[in-house]
Amino acid sequence: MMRIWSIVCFVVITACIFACNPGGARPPAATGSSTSGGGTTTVNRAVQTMTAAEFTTWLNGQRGKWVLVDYWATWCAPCKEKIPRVVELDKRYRDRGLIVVALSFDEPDEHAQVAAFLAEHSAQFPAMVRSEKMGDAFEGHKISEVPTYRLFNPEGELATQFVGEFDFDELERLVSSTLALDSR
Amino acid sequence: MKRAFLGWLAVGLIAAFTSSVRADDLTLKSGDAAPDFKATACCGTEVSLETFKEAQVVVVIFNCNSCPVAVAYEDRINELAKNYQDKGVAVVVINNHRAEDLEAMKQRAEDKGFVFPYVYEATGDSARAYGAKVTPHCFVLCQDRKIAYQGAFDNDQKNPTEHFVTDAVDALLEGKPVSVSYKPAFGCSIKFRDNSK
Repeated sequence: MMRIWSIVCFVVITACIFACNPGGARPPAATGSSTSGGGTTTVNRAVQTMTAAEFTTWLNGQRGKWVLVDYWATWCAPCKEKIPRVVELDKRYRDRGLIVVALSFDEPDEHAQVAAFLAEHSAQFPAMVRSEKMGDAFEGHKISEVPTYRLFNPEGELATQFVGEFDFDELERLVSSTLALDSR
Repeated sequence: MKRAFLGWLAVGLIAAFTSSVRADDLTLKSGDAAPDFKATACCGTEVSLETFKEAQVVVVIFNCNSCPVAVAYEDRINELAKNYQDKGVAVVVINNHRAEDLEAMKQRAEDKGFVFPYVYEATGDSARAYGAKVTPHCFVLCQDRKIAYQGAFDNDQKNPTEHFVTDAVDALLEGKPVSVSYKPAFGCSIKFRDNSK
């Protein structure tokens, strides 16, 4: 009985994801897996390709929550260095109303590589890869470099951003204080 | 009331902690006079805008050795310099990266066969004067050394379909208006020696 309900839930959730997908047909989502210790840990990590406009639609669907967007790429060393911190941040604040999402500026056909890297770090947050030309993607997202981290408030407005070289502790302190104040 | 107060407190906290940077905050506008610069070439000579006084068009590009996006554009920049060196176009690439030096740049220039001057300016004053924040960040200057185009070299690191710098150079050489005078640059932040400036 439990098994039937699990299957029903899976089908319904999958249908919802596809129904909410604003971009229509896309390359198939990638699933990454990582090997740690003696065995392979498979993290169900679907990475979609998405235009900046589609991402905005996705972001608008998150109203009512604080959203931290990590704009990054696997070719960007400082971005990769910070991924473990982002994973920790997600774990720590997910249940306190924060949604973390990673948007990669890798090539659109490199979504499997992005998925694998995030799986290596056991990232559980949603992840996307740009589907436009690199310049169009940067322009569409109104950023000029990676890493860039943007915090959007529950009204979907840009509250602040951290760009390039900065202290990640500062970002975490800000997220922590903001969520603490907002929950009162 | 309490919720509104806490909301404003959160906003104040955010403002106190961080400073917002808008991608479209341009230091120079199209038609502004290009700032002069003083940088050192790999052979030790000093280079400034005056060095290129004979050129009809000057392309100033801020770039470095280590940013993957910057590296991806090296060959394209070199092609531009090669293709236009006999057409009155000078290309100069300025490096402001605090962790790089002339020796590493000289090596890179030799390895890649750069035909343009690859110059170093440690203070980062030139990049700040132009408003360059990332590598690569391009500026095309017309004959009277005003800004005709600024921003990205083209629209994609891998398979570009729009060639902003080349198009601007062609337009200037043909005496036509530059149709796209600005496209946001993208890449890695310039690693200035002193980020507090």
